[in-house]
Amino acid sequence: MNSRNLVFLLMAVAASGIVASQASGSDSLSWPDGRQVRIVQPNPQVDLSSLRSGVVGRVTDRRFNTNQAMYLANEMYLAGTEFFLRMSEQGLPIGNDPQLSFITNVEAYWYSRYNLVSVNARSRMGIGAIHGPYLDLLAREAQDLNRFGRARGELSVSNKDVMLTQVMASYLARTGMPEKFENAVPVMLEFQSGDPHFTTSVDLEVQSNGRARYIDDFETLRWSHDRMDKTIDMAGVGQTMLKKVLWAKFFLRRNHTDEDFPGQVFLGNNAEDGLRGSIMTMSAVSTMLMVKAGLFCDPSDTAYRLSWPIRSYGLTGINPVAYSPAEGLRYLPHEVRPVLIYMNDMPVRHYDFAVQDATSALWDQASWLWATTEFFDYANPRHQDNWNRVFGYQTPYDGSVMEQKYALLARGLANTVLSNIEEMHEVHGVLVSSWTPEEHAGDRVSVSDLALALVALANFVEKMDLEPEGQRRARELVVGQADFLVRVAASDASYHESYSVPSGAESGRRNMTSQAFAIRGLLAAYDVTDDPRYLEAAKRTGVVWNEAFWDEQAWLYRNDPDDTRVVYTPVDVAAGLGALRELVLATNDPTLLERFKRFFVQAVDASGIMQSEDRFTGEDLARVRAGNLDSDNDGIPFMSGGDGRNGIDSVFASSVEFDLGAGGLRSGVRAPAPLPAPTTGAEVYRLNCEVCHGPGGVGNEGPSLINNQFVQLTGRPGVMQTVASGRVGVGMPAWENVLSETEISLVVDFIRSLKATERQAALGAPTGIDHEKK
Amino acid sequence: MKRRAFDLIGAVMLAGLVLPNAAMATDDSPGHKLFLEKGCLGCHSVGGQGGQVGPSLDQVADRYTPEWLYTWLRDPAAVKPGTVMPKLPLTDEDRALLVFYLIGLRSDAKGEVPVVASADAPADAPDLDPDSPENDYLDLGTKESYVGEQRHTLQDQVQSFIPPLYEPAFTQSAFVLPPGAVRIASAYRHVGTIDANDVAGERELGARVLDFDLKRQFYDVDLFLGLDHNFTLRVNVPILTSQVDAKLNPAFFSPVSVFPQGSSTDVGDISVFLKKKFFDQGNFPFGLAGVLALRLPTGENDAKFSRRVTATTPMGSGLVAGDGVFRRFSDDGRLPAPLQPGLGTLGGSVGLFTTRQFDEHGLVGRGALHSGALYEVRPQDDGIDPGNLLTYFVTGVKPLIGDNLSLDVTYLLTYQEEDEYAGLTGIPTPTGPVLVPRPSFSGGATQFVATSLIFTPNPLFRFTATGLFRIDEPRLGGSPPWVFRLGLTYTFASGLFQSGEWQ
Repeated sequence: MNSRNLVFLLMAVAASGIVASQASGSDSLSWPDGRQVRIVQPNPQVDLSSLRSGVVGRVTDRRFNTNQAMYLANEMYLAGTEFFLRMSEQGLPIGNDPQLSFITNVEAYWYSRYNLVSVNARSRMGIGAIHGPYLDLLAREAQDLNRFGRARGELSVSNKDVMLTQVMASYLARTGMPEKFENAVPVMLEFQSGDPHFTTSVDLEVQSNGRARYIDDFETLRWSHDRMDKTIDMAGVGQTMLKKVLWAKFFLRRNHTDEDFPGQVFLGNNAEDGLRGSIMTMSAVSTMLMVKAGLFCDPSDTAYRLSWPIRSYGLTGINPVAYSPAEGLRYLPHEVRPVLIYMNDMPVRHYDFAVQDATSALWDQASWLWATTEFFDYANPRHQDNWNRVFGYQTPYDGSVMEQKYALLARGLANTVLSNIEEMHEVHGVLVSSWTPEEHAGDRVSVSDLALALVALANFVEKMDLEPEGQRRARELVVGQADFLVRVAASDASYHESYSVPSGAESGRRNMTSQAFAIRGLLAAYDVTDDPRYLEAAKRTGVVWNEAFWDEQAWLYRNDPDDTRVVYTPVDVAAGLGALRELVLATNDPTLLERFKRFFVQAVDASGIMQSEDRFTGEDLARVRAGNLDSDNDGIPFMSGGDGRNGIDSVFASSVEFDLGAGGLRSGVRAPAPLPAPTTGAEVYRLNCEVCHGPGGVGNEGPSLINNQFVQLTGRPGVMQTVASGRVGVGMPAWENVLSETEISLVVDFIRSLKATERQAALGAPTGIDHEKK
Repeated sequence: MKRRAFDLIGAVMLAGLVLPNAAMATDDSPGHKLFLEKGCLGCHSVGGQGGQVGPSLDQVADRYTPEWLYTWLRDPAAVKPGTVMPKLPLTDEDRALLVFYLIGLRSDAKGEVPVVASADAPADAPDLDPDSPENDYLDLGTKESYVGEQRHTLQDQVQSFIPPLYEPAFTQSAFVLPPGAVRIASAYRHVGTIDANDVAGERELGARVLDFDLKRQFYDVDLFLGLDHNFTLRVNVPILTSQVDAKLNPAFFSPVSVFPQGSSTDVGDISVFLKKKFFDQGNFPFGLAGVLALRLPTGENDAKFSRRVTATTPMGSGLVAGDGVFRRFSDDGRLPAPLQPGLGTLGGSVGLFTTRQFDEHGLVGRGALHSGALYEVRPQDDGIDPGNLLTYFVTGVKPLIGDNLSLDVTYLLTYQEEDEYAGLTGIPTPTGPVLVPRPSFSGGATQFVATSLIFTPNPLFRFTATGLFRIDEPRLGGSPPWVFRLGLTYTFASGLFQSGEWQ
């Protein structure tokens, strides 16, 4: 058995173990016959008090700004489990650090996920995917045939019918979920901003399945439709789509099996992830199709439209594969105003759109370039990955959940956006922040726009392997922008907010966010060019940033070194997290990792920017019901205990501030009592392995270790070797630089002691069938 | 046992597609005949019979969607270049019949366990060819605005999602019909007996009228057409029946009976309404719509009392009571304006309606609150000015039982300008008639409260039953103490403008 097969064996065992070892009741969904499918488990809070400075922030704007919050959610996702695994691959000292593990694998992972789920499934803050072209096309296909069937009394199908009876049913069948979440409304075009206060009290009432109703039914988690700014801003839509794609990729990167269906392989790390990933995929395809089919601005078409008496530009669809700017520019405008139809119980629906702001913003274009590139990487049939099972040629009859043909859509859109960036934003090789139909390219670029463009372009270079010509052009742009950044840096390598193009004259403040974005952009350029100048420049900026802007008492970056008032928007926090994360990975510097932890805890937990949380980051429903609305005492309340009469959703606020002056807010550190250092195998396991392998080895992202064939049959040295060296390519990190030999020994003994219970033994599970043989 | 739930999901999944009756696969189905006629069995087998050149078709519909099979049959080589299957001369209907036949062979149609494919990665070569027919979707929205075109497909969704339960039973709302939708509504109003003394206006006359019963019944037929999602056209045809049952007691005479009891049915003034939605609650805190209406003089306005009613005194002196009572309003004994079927001249109205919908988390749960005002201009004609009319209403609609029954509570206020009649009339006195200006017949504010039940067995059908109860009488003239109304509405789902092809 080669190592690849061994890995697959582990995965198969893991997946069956999830079901075999799960407890009954509130953690699982039931099939009508009583069979249970485990859903994602809550996590206990870990003590982070030593990472708190004692300075707490104050929320100054509780609204949810889609673009900003989703950008933070994206950077936070990349600073989560992905970051943890990359650090372990690079041998950073991450072992025995329950705080780091909790910050990355639990808080970053879940806070990011909360935001997406809130916006895309609960809030109804946008136009429902149920109205989108994807389901429309499926309904039309059915109608084409139905023309002949109607005579026989069959009604034509609507999008809603397609969604509920065809698409959703096939997702359930393919992922092994017995039921869907009630009142989950996938959104296709998100609105610009909304008020995340709940309009009604969160339904915590325990249902017959042992769970609070809000877990299965999102009806009480809606936001106020009246308090949304219904403008559709392309950056918000692009960042949210990126978020959907990143999560879909994560959720569907593996398969699982179910002992009740021998021979069946289900999509997703587990049934719930599979279902969520499938819906995210559908939602992202709906977004792309909708934008492609009607939200491109045609600057040659001006007329009196909805904006009467002002002339506005027309919106049109493009064929993204055939598109060329030379034959008539079509681009994504900055803001679009929808005309909506309100149908009470139904997700709000569009009737028409009009261009509200015809500017092309580099940030918007970069967001879309990143999102579409990421989708293409997800759907790319040439990569031999598990995602090839998600996309098929006769969906859903070949076991896939999405038509392969939409890979072409993502690829075309990515090329379109790249061409438009070159056509509209490039001035002497440097990109400018904005372009307008009247005045064309501007003469300024902000460091933040440039950095996001660099990240998106570098991602394109890395992932668009079917577009060598596009990759070449993207690489040229990467070099051009990175060179510009190196050129305009001040003598101490610091940056101002923006620069003139092409002269390089600076303007705006010299603030913390500009430094962070410059680092992020330069390191993205370094990743794809391997040019050491960029690494050097990023490191030098990192030094200034960490010396001049870091407040040693508050453990925060000041916006301005001389200003004791610190104001963070989600973009500021995202820039800081992104820069620290990339610096850690580029330098392997443990002091920067320490700074990452402190900044995360101060800027995300202590600032109040994360307005509430759910069971997965420490809250305990039993204690919440008993009246303790911050049951894990971490300063972030449970959803119903958040601001307002009914509480507030678990999403990022738009603005928080700290006062670091003499009269500033300082409070006692609220956190659970410190935990003892690990001394037993179980403890080592809990702090290092549990995140992936689940509590007690039941499996989660990683395989189940209970009665694991590999663990039980390979023998102690083999397991020790696996823990020490990791499993390349499947996410099992090497622990030899992290854990001491004694600790590895302890944890291996613990793992080997994990045997099946009598019930499972009687069932003969798990089987460990290798479904993956080619 | 454990499989059953899964089978159920499989069945639901398949049922989401076109699921014809399994009987379609029987031997006498047209699809089966066609299957034999076209020689399919030469290459394919069914139930072990037939050729081996192509794959067995026993469970082909388990593996492919009906739409895919339908497309495949049009031109196999276009779907899979290089296939040996020829392009058969089939009409669209032939292809559909063949697909129905093949669906009938599906395992679930035969009561077998459906095959759910394994998750093994598809073996097909990657196909990212933009010219492949399956990538037609790339042109979506390029030739015709997809968004604009999509408006025409709204009706299915609106009709299946806006419960007609949220619409008021008889007042107006800011809702408009989806484009192309046609709705027919009819209503019957049974009006309570109007008090005789109010009608005759004995105060001005110095006359007393006893037991004057005026019964009027109204039938309304309405035709609605959704023009665009912002406009709805409505044509209202009122039909009214009047019946008089009266005894008169003119001054200084003994009571007289009125004979015969007159009755007539007339078509009133036909009105054409154009409603425009200004704001939808999707964009605005509440929905707002305006209406402009034209009232055509189709109803007659010279109905005469004397035509229907004569009265005799016990002495048989031949007094024509109708003339005596109503000649006060016109020289020729015409009925006063409120009792005429029509105005006799062109009128019109303008109105504004608001609608606010509530989800189930509001104070009263899901429902809707409508309000509006309508100002009707009624010009004078032939010496009679009926007086303009203002109507104001507030209506709350609250679904009671699921999506099938809701309760409507309405407050209705009408204010009518006093009507005016040209000329002088003689009032009988002991010393002989005295000429005075003709008095007004009606005018002032009337208020009603109404409750209705709205029953919708499905979103296209709607029955309403309403009782209106007067809480405030007008200053002048008669008004019914109650009105009972029955309504029936049907909406045609198919629409007039079917969507065009977008390819």
